[in-house]
Amino acid sequence: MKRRDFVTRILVTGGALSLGIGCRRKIEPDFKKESEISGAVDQKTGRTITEPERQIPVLSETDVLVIGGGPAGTAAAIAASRTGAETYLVERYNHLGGLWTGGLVLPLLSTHAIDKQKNRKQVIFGIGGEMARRLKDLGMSIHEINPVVDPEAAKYVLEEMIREAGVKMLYHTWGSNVIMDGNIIKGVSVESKSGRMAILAKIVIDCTGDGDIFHFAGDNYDVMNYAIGLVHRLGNVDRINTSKTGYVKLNVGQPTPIPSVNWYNMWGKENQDALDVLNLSQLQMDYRREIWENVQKIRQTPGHEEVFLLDTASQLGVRMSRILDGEYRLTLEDTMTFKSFDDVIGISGAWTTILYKGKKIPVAERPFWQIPYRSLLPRKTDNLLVAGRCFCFERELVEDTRIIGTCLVTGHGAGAAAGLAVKERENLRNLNTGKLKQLLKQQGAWLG
Amino acid sequence: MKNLFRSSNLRTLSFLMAIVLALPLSWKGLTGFHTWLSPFIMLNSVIAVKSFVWLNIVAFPVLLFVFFRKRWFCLNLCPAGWCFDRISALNKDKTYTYKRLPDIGKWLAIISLASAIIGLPLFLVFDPLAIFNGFFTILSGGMNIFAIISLSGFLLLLTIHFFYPGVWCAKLCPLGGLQLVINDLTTRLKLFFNKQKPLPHGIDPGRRYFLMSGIGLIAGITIPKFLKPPAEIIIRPPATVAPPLLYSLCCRCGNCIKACPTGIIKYSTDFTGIPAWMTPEISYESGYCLETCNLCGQVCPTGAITLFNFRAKGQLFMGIAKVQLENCLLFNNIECVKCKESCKYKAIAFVAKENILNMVPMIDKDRCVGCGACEVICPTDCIHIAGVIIN
Repeated sequence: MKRRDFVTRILVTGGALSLGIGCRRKIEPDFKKESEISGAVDQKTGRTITEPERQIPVLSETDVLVIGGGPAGTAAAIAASRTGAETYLVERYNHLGGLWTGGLVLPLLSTHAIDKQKNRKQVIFGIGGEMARRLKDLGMSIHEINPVVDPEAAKYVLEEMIREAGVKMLYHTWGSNVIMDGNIIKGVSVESKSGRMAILAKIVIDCTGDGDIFHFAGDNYDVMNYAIGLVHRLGNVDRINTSKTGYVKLNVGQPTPIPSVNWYNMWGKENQDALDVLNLSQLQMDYRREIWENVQKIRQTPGHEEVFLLDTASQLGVRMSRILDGEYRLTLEDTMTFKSFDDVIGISGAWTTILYKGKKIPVAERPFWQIPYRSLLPRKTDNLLVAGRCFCFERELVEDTRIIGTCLVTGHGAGAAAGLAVKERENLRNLNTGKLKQLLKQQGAWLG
Repeated sequence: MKNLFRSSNLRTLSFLMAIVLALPLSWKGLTGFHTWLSPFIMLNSVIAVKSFVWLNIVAFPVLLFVFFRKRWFCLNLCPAGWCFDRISALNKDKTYTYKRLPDIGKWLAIISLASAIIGLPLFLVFDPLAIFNGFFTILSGGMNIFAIISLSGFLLLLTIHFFYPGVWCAKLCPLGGLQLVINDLTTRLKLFFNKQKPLPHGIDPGRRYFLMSGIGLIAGITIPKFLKPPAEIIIRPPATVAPPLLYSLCCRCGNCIKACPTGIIKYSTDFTGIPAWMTPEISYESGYCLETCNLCGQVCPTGAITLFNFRAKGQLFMGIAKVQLENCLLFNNIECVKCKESCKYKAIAFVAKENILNMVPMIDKDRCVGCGACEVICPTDCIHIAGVIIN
């Protein structure tokens, strides 16, 4: 072959190839155009001081210590105490029920879901179901599915149940740190009017919602910023005079079991850091002013003169903050496919329509879902259980895990597990899940 | 093994494969694979869009075979031809040669390819594989009666073959016509190399041309009235080419409809815009356009839906979400975050309307691609995707 022929062939081949590649048709992403929303700027000064070492009194040495008296904490304390363990419950406000009562988020959501036969039925039983039933017997809850309760009645019922179960109650007390020994929590130090004290315990249940205890204990977690709101209630909504001249229909919230009272939800500002006290304080002040001004506007509208602001919630409506990195991360897929776990501790339902694999699944067609014991277990700390909105799940599931119904279920499961572990003198990780399931069933829980 | 490659067996095999892949059984990228084998679709597409995708290569060997073997595709691969032959065989009484019928298919092929050069391939819809594949789209469900009638062209052709055996393959099929053109080329080349003069063939003017010119006149007067573009802006799959080209480039094979995992692509049957008849349209009833999917682009044999990387979906605009606030739960202070949560492009933000108690969803025009997730999920149906003009 002549050299010129050879070169010609190379040129022709190269030309054909480059033409070919040049004519290729595919749209590729342009990453330059994509910009990410930048996070909030950290404005902390970074200055610190060292606390002097000091002796603190030991308040008590107990079997089970529950930090946080929200729906999960209350259920956990009752379950543990009923199992026979000496139980302390630490609550920072003056009431039980957390956001359900003090936060005025009154609906007990996700009580129902469909079973494998496609029948929509109640799925939340156990201690949570007992609370709902007792409120209904008092005439203090409306709606069969996802009942809305009266907050004062709920505070009363929860406290009565705690009293009956023999739980040792500590109000106005804040779990402020953990006392660690390797991977074991020996106890929790609490702050109150009596100063700092320690409560030593065999097992600690973190029901703080924000995951304060697993944070102090050094476990890994994910922080999810979300919208924070502040709920309020309006009184005299039954005295709105619709026939008055100049009357216009206004949004006055949703009905509660008390006919003259409505609760008024607030979505609030997006992407808020619930772990920054300066932020929480600012939000609290802004929200209270906004609510006051909005109620004045309502009162100035013809027909609404007698409506008044009954109360703003005593707790800011923090929806999400920390999410535990536990032994098992519950996924959206698990909840949509009737996934069955050997170590199931409870079943929750669904309250919203969702998109699953690109398709719309209406709330009335959503299956019930099992919660495994492992997703309440932190990876590092050995004698800690986590219940409430901060147990281990993937973010896609947040709408179903952060609500009252699920919190009651995880609380019950954690409390029973702690009680059983104390009774059996067994490590939480080696707990016999068969016995746990049996115990939960004895306590009225439904496990599918 | 040798028997397998005998033309009849190969074609039966090809038919079986084609029918299985034409069924809406979520074959993903393989959906309607036979449309890629058609050199007619490939040439029109490549010439019209002046670019190609790698899968276009599969039609090249077919072209090569056709070059050396007359009607190689028809005899060895064509699933539609297989069906037509079976029906034709039922009619034992008649034999037709169709000598008097002109080679319509050949002219369809020539005109189509010529018009493809100026970016308007005219007769892609007559490709037999598009007709064959399109027919099975009926089984994917959710079709209205007009779409089903339009897709029944294949049944019509089957019926015709009972009365006129082999007429489509012999005279009408543009894919067959293309092969005839290529064979003419082969013959001419052979003659050229053998230094022989081409065979003379005269034209026979007469009644036929008189009739044809009459029909042409009537068509010229009436057709433009039907050829108005649709009044509404139709929401198309991502990376669909802009309308005038789309109308002719889309061969209506239904591959995208069958491949769509959420089943949101439908045939458009809008009487106000006949040129857009049976082109793919999106309706967000059962699902939305998944952010991790580019199957419609993968399976489109003509490039009417350009192949795209699914990571580029944030820049492929289909429409834009519009919110009607009256029924919005959030606006009415009922806990709902569905639209914002479902938006994979971070195009929805909740902002205070008058005060913080009145949060409302706001759509970011630059980010919203109109994937429809929010429309589908909205519990009160207050979000709708509006079409946008795509450049």
